[in-house]
Amino acid sequence: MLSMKHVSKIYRTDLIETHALSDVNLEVAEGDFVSVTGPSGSGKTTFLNLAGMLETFEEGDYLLDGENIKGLSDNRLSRLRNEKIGFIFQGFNLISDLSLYDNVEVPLIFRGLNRAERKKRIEASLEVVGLASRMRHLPNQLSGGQQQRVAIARALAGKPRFLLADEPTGNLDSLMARQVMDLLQDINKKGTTIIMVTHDPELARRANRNIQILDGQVSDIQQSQLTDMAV
Amino acid sequence: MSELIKQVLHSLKHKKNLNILMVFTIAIGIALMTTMMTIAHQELKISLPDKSDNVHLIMLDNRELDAPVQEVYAMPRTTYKDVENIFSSNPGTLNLVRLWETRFIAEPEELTVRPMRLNASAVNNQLFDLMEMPFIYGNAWSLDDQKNSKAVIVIDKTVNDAFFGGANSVGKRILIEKKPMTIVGVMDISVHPKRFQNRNFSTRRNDQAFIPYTFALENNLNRVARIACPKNQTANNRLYRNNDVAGLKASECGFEVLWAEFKDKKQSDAFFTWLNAYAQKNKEMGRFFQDKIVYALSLSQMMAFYGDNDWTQTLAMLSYLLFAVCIVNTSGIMLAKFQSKAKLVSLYRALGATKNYIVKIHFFEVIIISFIGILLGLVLSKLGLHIMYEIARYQSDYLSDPKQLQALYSIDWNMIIRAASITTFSVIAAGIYPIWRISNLAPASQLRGA
Ligand SMILES: Nc1ncnc2c1ncn2[C@@H]1O[C@H](COP(=O)(O)OP(=O)(O)OP(=O)(O)O)[C@@H](O)[C@H]1O
Ligand SMILES: [Mg+2]
Repeated sequence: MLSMKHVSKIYRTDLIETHALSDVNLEVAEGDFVSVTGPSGSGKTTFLNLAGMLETFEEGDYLLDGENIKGLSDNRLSRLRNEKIGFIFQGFNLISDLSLYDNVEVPLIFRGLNRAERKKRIEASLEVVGLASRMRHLPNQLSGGQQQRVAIARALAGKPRFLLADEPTGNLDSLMARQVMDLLQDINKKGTTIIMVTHDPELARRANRNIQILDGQVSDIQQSQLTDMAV
Repeated sequence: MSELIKQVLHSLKHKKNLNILMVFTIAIGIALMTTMMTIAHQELKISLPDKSDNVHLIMLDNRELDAPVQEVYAMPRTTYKDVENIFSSNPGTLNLVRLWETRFIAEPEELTVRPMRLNASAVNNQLFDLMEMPFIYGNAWSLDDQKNSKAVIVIDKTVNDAFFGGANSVGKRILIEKKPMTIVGVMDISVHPKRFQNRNFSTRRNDQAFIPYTFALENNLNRVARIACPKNQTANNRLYRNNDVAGLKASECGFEVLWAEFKDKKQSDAFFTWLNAYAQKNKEMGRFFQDKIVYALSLSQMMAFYGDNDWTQTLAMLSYLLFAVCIVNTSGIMLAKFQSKAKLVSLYRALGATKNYIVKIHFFEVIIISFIGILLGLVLSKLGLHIMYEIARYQSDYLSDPKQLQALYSIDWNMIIRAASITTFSVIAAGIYPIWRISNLAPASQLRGA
């Protein structure tokens, strides 16, 4: 369902050009759970941003569900992003003055769903992450793990086919990390394709496909290689 | 739609203090601008706009040959002799008006209210037609009354309010320097914000009553304006002012303001041809000395001169500049506010908000802020005008007519609409750049890292 061919991404600043990704060729099948590992600055976030159409790229083609997204209008891209993709960002990126309910509602508003439909979905997805009882709380009234679960609920509420998670456990202790991971695995089992960036080899091993990014080069690796990786 | 409103409100809540700062910046800008615009507008407002080109101040320069060169505006008033001659043989005018100022104590016949000191003028009855004077009660006096020096008077609404509580006083009498005068008309002179009829264009004090000039002469009411006598007669000045009417009539001292209103160019040409001939004839008789004797200024020319108030113009310019500064400042604050939301907006974009949606949210935010700013600005304008009014009252030692001043310093709705549209336009213009900046943020560009 996701297919990248010869995709490159270069960041140009006044002083230097950074080849954040070069010649990425990758197919991700429906229902996959892909882990992405690699050292800091290697291009993991860049890769997720491209996959999520948050950034444009210069070279190559990217087909999402068979649709080439190159040259699509900003409107169309926003729509695709909203409908097909759920994001879990590096850092929770919750809106601090909105309740959990309102946080989860944001992407549904952009989708243009009516109030009743939104309510149904918000409650359902907060239920999934086990926070339905606290939906009137503000994010800072929750623990880090709970906040990350809200971020997951927000990503799930739109019923995306595709979940992109950038170090969803990065800010959590190992117990909470494991809980979040369990949650993601459940979601994957119900049919959502997941691409997850992580520094933790143990968590990466729980995915059913592992790719590694080194200096902008994307490649598949074996689970056994994961431990050797300097992270 | 209600979601959009929710988003706008959420956006407004972000950095609330900046909203207050923007609202005040806009409001102060508007208040300064409308206050100054209103004052400038009122001061530049033309009296009798429909016929100001056809109403002329007539002056005859009777000064000695060695008199200094001077502006037309400062030419002497006209002598009794000349005014009489012009009245008796002029070839035709729509209105020919003579006027000089007087001041007297007025009191009602029964001493029920306090006496008032009135600014008034001695005039012929064509003045009312020339000034298109609105009458609340009654009319101008008749030509017969005028010929017979009847004790009649036209008083202003303000005087009628004070003496008769606003009731119809036509036919009643008031005492002028203890002489009973019959009221024939109550006028509303406030339609004329300036006292142009005596050449002064004062915005502080207007005539509060008019009496027939014939009565004024016969009863020797004092003449309060300048009496311009030739050098050899200046000694009599004081005498002419208060006592010696016969002497004044026979003298070469100018004290009358003379206005002529013409039907058309043909009529005015004929009049001036005749007047020039008259002046030449009198020069031969030794009454005039200058090469050019006849001077005339149309009311519109005089307005342009008296309206060209440097102080007002400068302040108006300054207020425009300040307004511009306020708008630029607003734009800056808005940019700061929107930029501080960059992280939130890029999150919105990442979650699927379109550029248009971001533009919409912030556009409505700008509209709301400017709307509140404009409202507050109007309130401040009203306050500003009131302060200007109080200052003007103070400057005139509280002797000015409050009604006349009030009219001058009251909000002019045309002005407000103009100011409000200028502001709306400018604030939106001020918002364009910040909105453009915020809506062009790349999605998630601010989300990398924690
Ligand atoms: N907007 C940008 N402008 C210029 N260079 C950028 C920009 N964003 C990222 N880069 C560079 O691109 C490279 C890849 O960055 P990226 O964020 O994808 O790394 P990462 O693998 O996610 O790192 P980490 O594990 O620390 O999150 C880095 O060298 C980074 O400095
Ligand atoms: Mg990263």
